[in-house]
Amino acid sequence: MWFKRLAIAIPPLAILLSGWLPFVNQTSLWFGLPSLIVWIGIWCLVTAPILWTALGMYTDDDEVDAAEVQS
Amino acid sequence: MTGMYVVIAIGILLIGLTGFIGRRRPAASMSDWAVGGRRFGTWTVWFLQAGEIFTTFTFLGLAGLVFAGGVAVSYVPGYLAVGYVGLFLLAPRFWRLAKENGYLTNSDFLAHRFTSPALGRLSAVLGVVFLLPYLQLQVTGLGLIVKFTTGNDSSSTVGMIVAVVLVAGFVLWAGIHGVATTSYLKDALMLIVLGILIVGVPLAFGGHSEIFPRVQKLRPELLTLHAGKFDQIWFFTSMLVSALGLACMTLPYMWQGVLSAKSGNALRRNYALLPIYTLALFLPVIVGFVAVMELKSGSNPDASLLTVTKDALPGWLVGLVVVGGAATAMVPSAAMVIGMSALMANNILPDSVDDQTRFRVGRTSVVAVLALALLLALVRPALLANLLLLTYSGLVQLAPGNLLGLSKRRPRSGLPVILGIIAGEVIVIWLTFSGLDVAHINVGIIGLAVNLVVLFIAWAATSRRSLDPRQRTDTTEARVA
Repeated sequence: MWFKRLAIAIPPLAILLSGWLPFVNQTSLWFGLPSLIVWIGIWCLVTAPILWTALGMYTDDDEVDAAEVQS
Repeated sequence: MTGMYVVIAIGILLIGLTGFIGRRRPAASMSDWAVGGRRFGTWTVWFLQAGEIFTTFTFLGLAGLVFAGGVAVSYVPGYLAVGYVGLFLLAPRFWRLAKENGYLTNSDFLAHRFTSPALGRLSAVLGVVFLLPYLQLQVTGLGLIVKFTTGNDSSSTVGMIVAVVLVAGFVLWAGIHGVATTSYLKDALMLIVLGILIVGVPLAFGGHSEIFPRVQKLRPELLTLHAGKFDQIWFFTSMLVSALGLACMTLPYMWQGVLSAKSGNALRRNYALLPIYTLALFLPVIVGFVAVMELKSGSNPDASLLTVTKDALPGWLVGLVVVGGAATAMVPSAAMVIGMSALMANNILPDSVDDQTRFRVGRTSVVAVLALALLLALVRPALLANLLLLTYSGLVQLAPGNLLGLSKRRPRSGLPVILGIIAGEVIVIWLTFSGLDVAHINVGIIGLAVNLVVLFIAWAATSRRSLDPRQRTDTTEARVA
């Protein structure tokens, strides 16, 4: 379970820090497009399956939220 | 040219009429009108929220930003993806609390969670004040889209008036249901229009494979973040502040989209899918790079996408692009005006007002707010320009309160949150208008840092006082409120 929680944090970190990754922030083209655009595009794409696989993990949170409502 | 005018006129009317079919008869209560009785499934919520990605900024600002910052413009899809991860985790919790306690707005949430009507009113006033220039920008943007393509001032004025009247009509009739049905049409239109742009425009200027090698040869600085206004610090802090604002639901009109969902899981599934949709934003960015290479220096950057479109496509297809642009103004405007009206009716009116009067005030506010936005767009389009700079960095100051409101360990009075918000807003306003050099750090982040420091100091001070039995009174919370 811990690796799924960790996996959720990876795309935001990869996107937020992209400006400081030297192999990303450079003038060369990947697949004919700017490397920074391709890098962020790939992580936007990868975020979806990561969140989708994590869906089942958060159903228990509904009970936590229900308890929270009572507080 | 005539074909273009016909397509624009039919398209704008069609968007408005689609809003009316959202309901068979007018909404009868504030809850039904503002959050659709909380019955929307995954796909309706998806269309509602996907629709919010595309505003007039997509047609005007995004390609324009390529002129100044090159690839720095990719902070927009970046912050959306990061924000959706945050919403995946937080939105179902906001939704559940809202359902159990009957919240319709962000201010309802804050007022109840911190037992502080004063905090509710403060956040409502900030929401309305900071969102009005953004609403006006949508109306002005629609006028500019028509003007850039037709070259005609009076067509632009007529376009703005007709669009605002239609939005007012379908919002009064159908409320959030009207926004949902227009969102279906808008998203379909956007995908068609972006498809036309990404195929038609580059082909007219030598093909896709030619664009970026030319940029690499002639303007390589546009392919990287480098020293200057759009450096790594700007990129990181702009993305962070926008993602925080999105994840913590600080934009008032987001609440209607989230609260209209029928379950927390519908929201989670929605946020798991939305990052894919953000890829569509790269299409106008690519067209922006075409414009950089093709347009003469001194061209208006904000008109770049529409200028190259006009040069590349036949009149009726340009008309279709304008209709797509009109949809990006009308649908978010409808969502914004519902959010602002709900704040005015639910949180700014005195507590003694009954539900029917609130509902009436809410609907009257729709007309008043849209009329004000239209008037400003027509008469004084630059009047609120300075305030617009504060929309995101100002509203993100509500993020600490929203996050703490979800937690069990939160201040039991609204005072620390109120003091934090005031401190954050003062810093943001001062830094925005003083022109002080902050090394390209987004002023919203600096405001948030001050906001948090003040909030935690005030929280520590008030909780120590409330633990001291000599000073504790039963009326403390009531006085703060």
